[in-house]
Amino acid sequence: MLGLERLLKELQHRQLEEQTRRHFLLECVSKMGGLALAPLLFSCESNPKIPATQQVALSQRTLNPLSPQPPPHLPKAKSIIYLHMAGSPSQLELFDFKPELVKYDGKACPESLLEGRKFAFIRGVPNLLGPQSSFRQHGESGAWVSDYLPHFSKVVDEVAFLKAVHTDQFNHGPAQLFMHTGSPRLGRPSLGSWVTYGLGTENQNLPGFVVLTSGGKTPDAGKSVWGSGFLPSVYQGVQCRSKGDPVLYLQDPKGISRDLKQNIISAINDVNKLEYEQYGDPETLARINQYEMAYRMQIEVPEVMNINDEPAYIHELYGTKPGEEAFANNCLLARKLVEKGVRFVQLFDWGWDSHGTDHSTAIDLGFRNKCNEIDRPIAALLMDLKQRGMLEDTLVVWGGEFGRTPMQENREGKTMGYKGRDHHVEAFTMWMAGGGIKNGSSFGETDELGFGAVSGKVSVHDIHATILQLMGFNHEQFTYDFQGRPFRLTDVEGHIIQEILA
Amino acid sequence: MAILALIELLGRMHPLLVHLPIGFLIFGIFLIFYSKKENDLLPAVRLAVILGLLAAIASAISGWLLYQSEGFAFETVRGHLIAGVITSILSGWLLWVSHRRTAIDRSIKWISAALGIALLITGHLGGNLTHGDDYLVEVLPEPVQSWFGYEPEAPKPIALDPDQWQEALVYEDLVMPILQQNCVSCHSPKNKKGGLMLTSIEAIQQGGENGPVLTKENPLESPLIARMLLPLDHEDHMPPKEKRQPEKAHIELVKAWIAAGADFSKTLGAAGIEKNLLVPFFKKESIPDFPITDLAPIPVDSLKVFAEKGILVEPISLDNSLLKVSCINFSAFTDADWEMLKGISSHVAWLDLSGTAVSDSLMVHVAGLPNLTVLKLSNTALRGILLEKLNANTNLKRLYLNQTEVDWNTLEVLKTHPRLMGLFAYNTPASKSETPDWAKKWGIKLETGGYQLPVVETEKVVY
Repeated sequence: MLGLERLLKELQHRQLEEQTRRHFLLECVSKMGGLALAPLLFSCESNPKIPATQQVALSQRTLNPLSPQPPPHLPKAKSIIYLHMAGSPSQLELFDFKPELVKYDGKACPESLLEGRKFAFIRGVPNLLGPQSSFRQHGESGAWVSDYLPHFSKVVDEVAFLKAVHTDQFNHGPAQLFMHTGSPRLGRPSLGSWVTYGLGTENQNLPGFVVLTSGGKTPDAGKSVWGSGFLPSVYQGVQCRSKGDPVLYLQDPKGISRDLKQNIISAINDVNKLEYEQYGDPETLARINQYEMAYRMQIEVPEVMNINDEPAYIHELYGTKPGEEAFANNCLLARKLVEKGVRFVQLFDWGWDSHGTDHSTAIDLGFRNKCNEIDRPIAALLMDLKQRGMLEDTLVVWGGEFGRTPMQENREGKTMGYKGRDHHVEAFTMWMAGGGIKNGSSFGETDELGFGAVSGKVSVHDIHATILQLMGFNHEQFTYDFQGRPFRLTDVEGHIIQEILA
Repeated sequence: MAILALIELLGRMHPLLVHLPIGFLIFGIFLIFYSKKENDLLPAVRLAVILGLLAAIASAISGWLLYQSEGFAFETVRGHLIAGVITSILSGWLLWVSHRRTAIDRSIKWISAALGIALLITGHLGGNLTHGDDYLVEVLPEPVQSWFGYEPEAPKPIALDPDQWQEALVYEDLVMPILQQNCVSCHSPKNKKGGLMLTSIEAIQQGGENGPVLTKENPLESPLIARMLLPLDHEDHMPPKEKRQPEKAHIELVKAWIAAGADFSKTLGAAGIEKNLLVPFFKKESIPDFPITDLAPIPVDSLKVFAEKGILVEPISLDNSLLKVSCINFSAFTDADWEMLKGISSHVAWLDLSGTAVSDSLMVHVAGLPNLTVLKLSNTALRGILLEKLNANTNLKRLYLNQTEVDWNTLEVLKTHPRLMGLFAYNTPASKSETPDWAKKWGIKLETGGYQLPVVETEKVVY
C-alpha cells in the first residue's frame, strides 16, 4: 500500500517536472488567447438568438446550404439575368436623348457644373460633346433610343428605364463593387450571393448563381463582384468558361466509372462531415456541398451549357458565334440556365470604357462596334424570354457601373484625337424588364445637358432594394449576422422604386 | 402703407404676446392659493395681476388686428375672442377686488379660480386656431381619438375607372379632390388666407384679395397654377415651402383643366383631357397574384417525402401556406405519380411539370386543384385533348404549353375560362398555323412567339 502511494507520488512528481515555467506560461497564453479568439470566431456564424423569420433557417440547411428556400414574401420574379456592361456605356449615345447638348457641342462646359467635382481624367474646363448618334422614339411607350441599338428599339415596350441613376464611385473597380455588393470596398457579398443565400437553387444539379463573361477580360473589380463576402463561400457565383468546355474536367477520367466516383466522393464527404462535427466550420460544409454539386453537375451541365442543340432560328435570332467567346452565346446560355431553374445569371461584357484614347474606345467608332455586339443578343434575349412566357417571372437588369460625361474627355487637359467621354457618376441610365416591372415606363430625368438628375434620382441601394423586393425579400429585414451585427445588402439605405413596379 | 404694415406686424405679434398673460396670471393664481399666512403675499398677487391684465389687453388688441388682417372667418375665432375678452375682464375684476381687500379671502379665490378656467379655455381655443382643432387628439391612439369624437379621416384617394374614365367629371372627381388635398387647409371658410377660398365653385371663380385665380384656357397666366410652378424658394410659391407639395400629376391635371376652359360641369371626355395625364389617377388593379386562402400550412416534415423523390415542394413564400411544386429534377414524373400529390391538392398554387412524361389524361386530376394559379406543362407530349377540364381551375391565371402538340382546336375550349390571363403556346402546332379570329379577339395575353430580328444594315458594319 505504501509502495503504491509512493509510486503515484513519483509519477505526479515526474509529470510536474515536465511542466516547466515556460510550459506554464505558454499554456496561459494560448488559453487566454483562445478565450479572446472564441467570440471572434463565433461571430462569423449567423446568430441563432435572432428569431426573425427573415433569417434563413440555417439549421435545416446545414447539410445542404443550397437547398431551395421559399422567399419571405410573395415574389414577382424567381430568377434574375443581370447584364453588366463593364466599363460603363454612354447613356448619352443610347437612351438619354439631349437635343440641347447638340447645340452646345464643342462649347466650353459651364464652370458651375465642374465646381467641386472630380473626374477620372478630365482636367480644367472641357468642351461639351453632343450626342454622336441620332435618336428616335420607339414603341407604344415612345421611348427614345438611338440608332446605335436598332434591334433593342423593337423591344422598348418590355422595358422600364431608370434615367437618373447615380453612384458615388468614379473608378471602375470600386464602382463595380458598389453596383454588385452595395459597398465600394471588398468584403461584402454580391447581389447574386444574397439571392442564392436566401433562396438556394431550384435545380439540385446546377448551381444557383452562374457567371458568364465576354469581351476578352473579366471586370476590373475582379471576382469579388460575384464573391460571397462574409456569406459561406458556397453562395458565390460559379464562373463558367465562355469558350471551350464551360466547366473543366466534367468528363470522368478514363477507367473511372461513375459508381466508383460516387464512392470516392461519399468517402471524402464522410471524412469532411467528421471534420465539421469536430470544428463546426461552415466552410467544411461548403466543401462537402461542392463535391456533391460537381458530381451532380455532370448530369445536367453538358446539356444545359451546350448551345449547339438549339435550333438554327434561335442561333440566328441571338446572332451567336458558336465556339467563340461571345456575349450573344452568353445571352442564349442565360436563357437556358434560367429555364433550368438557375436563380441568378450574371453576365459581364467587357470593353465599354469609351474614353476616346484610340479607335476602339472612340464613342463613334469602337463604342458603336460594342453596341453591335450586344444589340441583337439583348433584343433576342427579351423576345425569347417573352415567347416562352419566362419574362413573367424572370427579371432582366441592364447597366454599367456608372455613366459617361456630357463633356468630351480632355486627358491631361489636351484635346484628343478621338471622341470620348469620361466616367460620370451624377446621372446615368439603367433599365429593367420582366417579372414585376412596369413595362414601357421610364422614371427619372436629367437636365438639358444630361449632367445631373432633375427628378427621379435613384441610388445603387435603391436598385438593390427594388430587386430584392421583386425576389420576395424586404431589404431591411434580409440580414446576415457577421462580426457581431446584422448586415444588409442595402446597408442603412435603399428605397424601393415603386414608379417602375407593375 | 407704413401704418398698415405696422398694424399687420402688431397683429402677428399676437401668438407671442399671448404667453405673457398666461404666465403672469397663472403665477398670480398660484400665489393666491399658495399663501398660507393670509396677507403676506397680497402685494405680490397685485403685481402679478396688474402685469397680467396689461398683457391680456395687449394680447386682445393684437388678436383683433390679426383677425382683421389675416382673413379669418368670425365663426372660427368667435370662441377664442369671447373667452379672451372674458379673461381680460376677470383679471381686471380680480385686480380691483385685490386692492380693496387687506387679506386673501374667499372672494379673491373664487374670482381667480374663474379666471384660471377662462384662461385655460382662451389658450386652448387659440392653440386650436394655429395648430388645428385635432392637434392634441391626433397623437392619441385611434380608439382614444374616437372617444373624443374625432374619427380619423382616411385621405380619399382619387380613383378613376380605367375603362370608363371619359365619364368621370373633371371638376368634381378630380380637380376638387386635388384642391382638397393640397390647398383647402389654408383656403377654406375657416382659414381664408389671402382672402381666397377654394371650397366651392363660386368662391374659386371669385378669387382672392389679389383678384381672380383662374384665367380660362391660359393656365400659366392663372395664379392658381403659376404660383405652384414658381421655384420653391420664391416667396409667392404655393403651397408654402414648409407645407406638403402637390404631386406633379396633380399640377399637370389642374393645368390641363384650365387649358381646356376650366369648366365645372364637363366630363373628362367632353373636356378633352388626355388619357396619359389620367393614368396616375387610375384605380390600381387589386387582383392578388395568388388566391387569398385560410388554409393551414402543411408541416415541413410531411414535405420530406417529396424531397427524397426529387420533387420540389415548398411554400410559395414563408408567409403563405400555398405550395409550389416543381419536377425540374424529376423528369420521370408520370400520371401514376399523381397519387403522391393528392394529400396537398388543396394547397398547390404553382405546378411545374415541364419536361415530364405526363399525358393528357392528367388534366382530370389537375382540374381538382382549387387554388392552382400557374400551370407549366411545356416540353411534354400533351395534345391538349382534355384541356377543357382546366375550366374547373377557377384560379388558373397562367398556362404554359410551349413545345407541346396543342393546336387551335384543342385550345379553343379555354376561350370560356373564368380567370385565364396568359397562355403560352410557343413552338406548337398552334404557333405554326395561322391564329384564328376568335383567338385574336380573346383579350388575354396569348403568346405564340416565333419572333425574328431581320438583319439591319448597320449591324454588319465594322466602325
